[in-house]
Amino acid sequence: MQDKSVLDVNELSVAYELKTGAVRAVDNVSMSIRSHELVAAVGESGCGKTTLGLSIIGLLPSPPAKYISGEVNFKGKNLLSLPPDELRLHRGTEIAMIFQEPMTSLNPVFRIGDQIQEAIRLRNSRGKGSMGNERNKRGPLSRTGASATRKQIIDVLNLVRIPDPDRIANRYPFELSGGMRQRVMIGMSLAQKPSLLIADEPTTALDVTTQAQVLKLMRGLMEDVDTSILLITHDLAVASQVADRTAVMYAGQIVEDGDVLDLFSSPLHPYTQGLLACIPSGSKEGMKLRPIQGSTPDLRSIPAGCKFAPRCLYATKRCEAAKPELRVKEGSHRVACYLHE
Amino acid sequence: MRATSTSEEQPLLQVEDLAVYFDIGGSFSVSLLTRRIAYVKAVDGVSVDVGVGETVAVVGESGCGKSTLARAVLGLVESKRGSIRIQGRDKATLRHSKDRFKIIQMVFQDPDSSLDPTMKVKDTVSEPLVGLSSMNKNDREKIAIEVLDAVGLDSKFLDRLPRQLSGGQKQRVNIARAIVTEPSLVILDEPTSALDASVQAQILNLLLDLQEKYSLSYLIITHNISVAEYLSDRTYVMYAGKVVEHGPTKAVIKEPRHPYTIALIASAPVPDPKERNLLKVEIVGEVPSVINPPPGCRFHPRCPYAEQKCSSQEPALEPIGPERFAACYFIDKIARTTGKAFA
Repeated sequence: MQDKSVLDVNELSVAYELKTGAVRAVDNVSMSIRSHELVAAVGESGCGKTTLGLSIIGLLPSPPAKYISGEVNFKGKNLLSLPPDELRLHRGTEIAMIFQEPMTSLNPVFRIGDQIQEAIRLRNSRGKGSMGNERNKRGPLSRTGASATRKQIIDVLNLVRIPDPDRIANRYPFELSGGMRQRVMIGMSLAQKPSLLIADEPTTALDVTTQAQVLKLMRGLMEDVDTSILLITHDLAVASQVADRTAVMYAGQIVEDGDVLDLFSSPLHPYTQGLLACIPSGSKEGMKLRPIQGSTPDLRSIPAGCKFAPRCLYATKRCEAAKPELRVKEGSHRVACYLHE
Repeated sequence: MRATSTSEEQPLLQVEDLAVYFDIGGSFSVSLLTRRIAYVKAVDGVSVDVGVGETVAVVGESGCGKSTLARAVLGLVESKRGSIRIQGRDKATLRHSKDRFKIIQMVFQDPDSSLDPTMKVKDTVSEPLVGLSSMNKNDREKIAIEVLDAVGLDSKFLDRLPRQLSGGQKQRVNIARAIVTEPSLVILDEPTSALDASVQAQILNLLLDLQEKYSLSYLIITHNISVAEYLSDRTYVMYAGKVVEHGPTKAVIKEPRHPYTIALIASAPVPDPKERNLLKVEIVGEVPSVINPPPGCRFHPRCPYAEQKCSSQEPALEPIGPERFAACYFIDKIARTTGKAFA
């Protein structure tokens, strides 16, 4: 058992202040990630899973985003209370993030090798402890330095199992396939040996056979580079295949979380149950799907009580009146529903 | 649920040896000098048929040619060779016939870009009826209201614009527009891929209900094996412009025979943490470019069973069981070892 937690999010609330009113995208979320743990945040579009990821790493555009309350404790330090300069030291080196579309994360006019080199140089300069030196370092490299850096670049490409790394390092992003680009992104972010990798829909743009390879790679690398992963995904099946723990989000809140085996073998929240019933398995002659009725709520006009109540088969008067808290049901399995009090 | 499994009956849609090439010739001067034009061989010798009342799925990954196949059937892209017959008539003769909208319709993947942002829901849905008969505007609207009701949109949606609809509602409008003429065949190109899980399930059930109510036949293009399994009677698996395996959906998914089908099914995640197949998948590499596809069997560079022969000579689709076909030299060998290579 590794109980040392890398990340502790404590009652975090984040809102977007729009002309039409404030929207609470993350609403009182508490979660923790231990070292060497892969935690999946699952939910449909608009549930706040991406905002959660961005707010942990401090990449939310502000305005319109605004932290309302709560803490993001990373290795015992509250990131939200750090001055921007200090936060930058952590971002990219201690906490890294990769996104859905790797093409937009890579610079189209620089070779893959050069972009990896930049990441490595950043790590080295930060290792010496000051941000200011980083720019001065950008001079031509000495000969020995150059070959050492080249070796580091190749190491990164080898780490993410890219065949023929010497050739790939000289390519531009557009010359690589989607799967290769995402591998490069994973390599670049892990080159910093971060303690936490936030992966926002890393395989959604990829084909299934490529997705399988990339997920397998990520899972394998957790041990190699000593990192934890927060996987943000819309796909419950992907979460069930790779995560240690899973948190299900709905309209900005975690409605249920727990060990992946518990959560999938006995889902407690009606929303989780509904989502699982929505995944087609077997043919129409077997059982017909029982979809959740209605659609995800407009965050501008959220119901007062349980946010899922209008779509819930078991909703009572009480659900409409007051919001159920996320409570421990059994072990580490938590659920926010009056059915399980 | 197949209305026709007898072979003597004429299929509704019959595609034979279809090829669609896109010219990417590069510069004019280069092609003059070298006298060579480069092609993207998006679909390269594909035969597919759909029976009356049947649902046929075409599955494969991006670039396999499944969407191009659908567009060729609808006449949105020119074919290089091959024939497309619908209800026994050649597609070319259909082109200018008045009743073509009554024969074949399509629902596209992106519910947003396939709707005119300035048209009200009722106008979008009734438009295909214009020119079909001597119906006046009121009659057309009446039918549109009926069909919208059938797809689960009540009268309050009639005067709405696309931007006032959610993704799922937009796709319902698209489906209503496709079925308003009561066509024989509806082509569904990734009908639920842009939708959230809960909305996807609603649309899948809707498609089944509508099929029963309007006796539709479906040709479904999807990358999602479980969508194909849920909706279809027969499945074609495409890889790099070719069909590599086809047969009754249940059989293809339960006992895949072509090494690519085996890999594809093993790679599709199932929501069960007790069966972590995904992390055991052994497939390597990625889908090849169809500009310069590998010689021989197009899957051979990624195939664990590949031998010398596979890289030089292309295997043909051969019968491998009741109504089942696959294009691989080692089907018998694979049948004996299935499940060991990839999962």
